[in-house]
Amino acid sequence: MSKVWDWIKARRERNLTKYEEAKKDFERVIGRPSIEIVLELPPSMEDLKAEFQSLKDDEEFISEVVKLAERYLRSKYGRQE
Amino acid sequence: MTSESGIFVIIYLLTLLLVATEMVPMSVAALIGALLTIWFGLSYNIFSYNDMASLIDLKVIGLLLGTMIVLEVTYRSGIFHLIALYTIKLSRGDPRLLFAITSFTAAGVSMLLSDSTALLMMAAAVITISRVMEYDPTPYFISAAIMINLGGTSTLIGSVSNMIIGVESGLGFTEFIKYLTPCEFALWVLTLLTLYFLYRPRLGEKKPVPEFNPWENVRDMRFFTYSALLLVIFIGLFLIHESLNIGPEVIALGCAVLALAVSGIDPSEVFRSLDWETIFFLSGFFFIVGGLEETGLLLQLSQGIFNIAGGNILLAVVLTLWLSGLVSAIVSNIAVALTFVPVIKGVHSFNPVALWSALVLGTNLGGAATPMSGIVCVMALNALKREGVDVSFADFTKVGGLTTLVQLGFSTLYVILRFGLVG
Repeated sequence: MSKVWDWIKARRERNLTKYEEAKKDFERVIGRPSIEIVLELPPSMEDLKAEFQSLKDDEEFISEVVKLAERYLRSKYGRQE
Repeated sequence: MTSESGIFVIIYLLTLLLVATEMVPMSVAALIGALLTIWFGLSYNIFSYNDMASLIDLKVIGLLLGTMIVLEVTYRSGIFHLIALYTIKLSRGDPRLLFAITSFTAAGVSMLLSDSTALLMMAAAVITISRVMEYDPTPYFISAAIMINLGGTSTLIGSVSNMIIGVESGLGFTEFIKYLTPCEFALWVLTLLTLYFLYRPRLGEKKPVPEFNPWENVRDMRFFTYSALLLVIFIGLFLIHESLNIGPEVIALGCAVLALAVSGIDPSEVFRSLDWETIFFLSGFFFIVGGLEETGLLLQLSQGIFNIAGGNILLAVVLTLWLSGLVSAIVSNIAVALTFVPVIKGVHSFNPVALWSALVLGTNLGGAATPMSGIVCVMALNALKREGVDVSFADFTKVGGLTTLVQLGFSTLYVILRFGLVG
């Protein structure tokens, strides 16, 4: 039965765009807000196009960006560690 | 059954199979079935080319389309988000209160919003608050899905199956409320108690809710006020449409035009957001059931049901309720409503409202028995999976199946007592 269900479930994947949009709205008010930034490939890195594109799923890179945002906010708004 | 009728039965059953398994999208399945019905119907002279258009009921399509447009426009104002946020604030961090209020709110918003929109919004609210409070989202998520399926059972615009039954039976907006709202509200309480009993150990501990302003999501106050006013006009006109002697589809389409004209939103954006899958599915299925009806098979089925009931209205009502409820647990309740409408019309009963009410209850309540029963369950499980929680078929069915049985059992008692079917 579970195999049949898995098969049907796979066929029934639904577009959840509205869910993601609503989630962002609620997170902005009660949760931890998130932002989306468009980053362009630096001009000197043309040969690393594919590697650059894979950064969006690279957890180490995302963690570095979060640290950078934290450092930037602290220095700009004078918040102590 | 003649060989011609046999072909239409095969088309009908094959379409249901395609819809249940989703080997092709449900709208495409219904359109394939419609195409085959038209082809064979014309070939066997079951209906003429000129009569073909009468197989589709444009009043139902108009009611659905108009309602979708009005609610899509008002949804964008943030009015429903505001309700959900106040719900969370009201809980004051008590998981039992949060569980109860979010479940009731889910049922309440789905009295107006389509089930899929209500689910996506409430699921987003529930996942956000359960992350903040570090609660297991599953009980809140599944309960919201089950309550959304239940919500709107007693309103003409609460579900597509209600729109079909309302337009075809002539039951108006106020009659739905008069005959079915007491049952729906009792079912809210009964379902919530059942869900609480099943999920009590998983609700989490009481914690303080972070401070927030529920109005933060309302970006355009003018648009918000306009949307709130539009909703009041929309519901107000439905409440008096019978005395105005105009059909509900005229109210829905009229308000849709007003919404598009005054909101300032690009109409093409609104049109893109409509649930075309349901509209095309409904249109296609009208032809399939229309073909079956033209062969006289559904009339024979009506007579068969009445014969089984031996002319006993109580048995006919109970049969309608349970049969439509159990079949809706397997296939789309839109298909079930479309199939049962001509059957009920064929039963010459002295108490047709009892039969229509049983059909409304059956088609609505069967929609959350298993993960395959309706779009709400599928979407809830899809969204939960995206959040890293995989609910199995058996786990969902334990909860959905039990609540459906409780709901159908209570509804049986309700229709018997409400319509004086005993003695």
